[in-house]
Amino acid sequence: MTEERELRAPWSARVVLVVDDDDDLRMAIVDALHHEGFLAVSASGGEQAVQLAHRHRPDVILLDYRMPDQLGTDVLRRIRRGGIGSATILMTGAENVDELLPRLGFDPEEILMKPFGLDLLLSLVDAVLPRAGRA
Amino acid sequence: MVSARERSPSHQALVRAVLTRSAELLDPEDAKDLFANALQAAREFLPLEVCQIAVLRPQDATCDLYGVSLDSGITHRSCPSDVGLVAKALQCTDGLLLHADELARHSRPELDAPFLAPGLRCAVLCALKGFNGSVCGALMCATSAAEGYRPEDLGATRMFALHLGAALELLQARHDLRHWNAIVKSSHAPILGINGQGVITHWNPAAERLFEHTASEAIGRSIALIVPEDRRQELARLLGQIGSGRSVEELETSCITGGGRTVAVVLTMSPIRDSTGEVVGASSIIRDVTSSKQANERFRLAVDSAPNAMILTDESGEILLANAEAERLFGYSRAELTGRSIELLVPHELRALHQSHRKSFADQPQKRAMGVGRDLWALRKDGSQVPVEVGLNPIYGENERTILASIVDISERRKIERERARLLAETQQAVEARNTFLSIASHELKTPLTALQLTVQSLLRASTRQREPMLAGQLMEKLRATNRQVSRLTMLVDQLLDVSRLTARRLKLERARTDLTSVVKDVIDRFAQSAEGSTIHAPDCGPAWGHWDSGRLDQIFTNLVANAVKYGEGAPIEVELADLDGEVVVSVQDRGPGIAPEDQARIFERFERLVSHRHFGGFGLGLWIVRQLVEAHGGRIEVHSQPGQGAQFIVTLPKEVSAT
Repeated sequence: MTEERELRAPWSARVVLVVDDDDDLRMAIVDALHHEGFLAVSASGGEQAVQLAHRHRPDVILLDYRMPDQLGTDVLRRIRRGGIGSATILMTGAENVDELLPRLGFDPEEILMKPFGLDLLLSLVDAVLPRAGRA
Repeated sequence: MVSARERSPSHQALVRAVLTRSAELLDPEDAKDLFANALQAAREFLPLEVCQIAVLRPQDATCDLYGVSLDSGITHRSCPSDVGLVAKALQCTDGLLLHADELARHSRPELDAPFLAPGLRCAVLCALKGFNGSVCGALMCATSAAEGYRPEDLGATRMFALHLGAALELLQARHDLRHWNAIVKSSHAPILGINGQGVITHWNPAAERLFEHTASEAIGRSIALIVPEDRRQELARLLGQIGSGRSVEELETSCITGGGRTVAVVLTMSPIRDSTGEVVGASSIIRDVTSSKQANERFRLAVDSAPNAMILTDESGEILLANAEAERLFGYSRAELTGRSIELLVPHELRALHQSHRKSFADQPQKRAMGVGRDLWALRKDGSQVPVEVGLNPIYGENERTILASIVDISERRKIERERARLLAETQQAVEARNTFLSIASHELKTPLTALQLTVQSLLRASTRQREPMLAGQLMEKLRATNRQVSRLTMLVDQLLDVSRLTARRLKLERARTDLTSVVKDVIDRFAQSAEGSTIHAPDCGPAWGHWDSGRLDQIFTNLVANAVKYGEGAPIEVELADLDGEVVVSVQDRGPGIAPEDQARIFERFERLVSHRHFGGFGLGLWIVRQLVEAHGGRIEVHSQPGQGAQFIVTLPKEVSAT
């Protein structure tokens, strides 16, 4: 799997937008994705996320559910309104995800429960990639 | 045989003798004997062959007719009183002589046959009168003597009739007396009679049983026989009252028995008067109420010692009885309560309502709790009100209905309920706070843990890729990030442990001689190396020595300076230190948004944070821990702030451990 990603040509690189207010976590994810051959861009808040989504039209948006200025789901709604059909993964540390899921309209495979490791992150990104552009 | 005429001078004496003896007869059935004797005597002074005595029956218009003849002795039959010779005789109060022809005219053959016998020449009739002069019967005699009756015989007949009437009445009275005797003897109530001197004259069997003296023991003794020493004055008063002609009604008192037992009684005493109206004694009927009195007393004691306030009222709401607990609850004495309206104990604003409720209860009385579903309040003598619970019981007496109210003071219960509610709310709050904290803690720990995990796993992955060795700069960057995340996790874990220690009061200070100035400067130095944007002005002063736990002081000021940096929006931060007499005061001042007055006390509580937890991170425990640590040192912390003008935290620490 790793080998395949390394062989990807830069023009075919998949773009992932990482949205999280926690600097350390955001940087760690971006770093990890870079190493795996993704083109990762990051935003620390909703406004920036909307701008970057329009500019880069990411294949996958990886976003934190709870951010200080707004909820990840609200950010996503704004991005979708701009006609951007990225696949999405919601990161959350909430205990009550089972209750949240139906309200948020996310499938279980689109949820990344904190704390998570590199393998889980990458496998989930791989899993949602086919959904890109379907929005 | 001696002629009747010869005996005439002693007629009266003879008749009296006969009648006196007759008066001893006790039964009207023995009237025949009376008359036989009377006629026997009458023959001595009055010639007669036929004699009849009619006795009026008061209940109807008939008579008992007793007849005597020389041959057939005494006969008895009933006859009408309004026809024939009897009717005529009843009218002759002064006596009447009748010759044979007149006799035939007044007689009825079917009723008066003996007087129509051949040979009878003359008859004498005379009504019998009692003591009060009323006619009670008639005497009818007839003779066949040639000379008939003479005028003087009429006088003798009148005299005879007079005594006969008296004797009859006496006989009747004897009969009544015997009847009364039977009644008195069979009575279950003791009945006794005394004379004007208070000497017992009559004593029935019930009195024998109750007072344990036989009639023969009691009669002739003073009534004091059954009066206890302490009641003698009362006796004298009663006798005086009787002497003046007034009755004693239903007097509750006590008597003493032959066996020395005291019995509770209710007595009625009535004066007995002679024919002139003078009081010559008294009759008394006595009721033994010992058992009912004991029952009453037991009831009273039970009510009195009841743990609840008990108040007995009549149907109009007048208080008849109150127990000791009622006195205690309401602050009134029994004397003050008795006779007053129950509304006295109802708060003024509720009296009208209470009155109407009381009336509807009186219409349909049944055992029930009062004011179900409502809060009931009672009014004390001192004007204070007390929450109560009231149970109402109608009590049916012989001829009255009373209401027993049982009143429980529930102020203690209310207090406990309030306390319980408060504790419950506190507990719920604590549980909620704990849940919030756990949720924040888990979230706060998860984020750096994820970052740490990703960084370390990236490093591992990079180190296995030999084709692409990591540059020293990249490696250093990742290691710094790792270090930062580990520090953050360590700080969070430390805070958790501190909370646990402080909550369980297990925090131990390691006091030693410490220079607070250098502790504060070290903290500022650390921030100066890492703080982005904020300038921190350190205090410009010499050492400030005291006995403190230097590690905890460091924690206190690290927290305060970190807060100032966090909320200071990059503006300069001032830290000042004043070494005063006995204490040191350190102030940390930022120029951030400040804290609203209503929030200033709250920020020192556990799990309080004024802005979203994600904005600044952390558990929101910092200031709570700071306050606990400052207070553990015997010091205090306060905050001065106006929104928009920054916040100043002032820590005052005593230099030595205070005696308390």
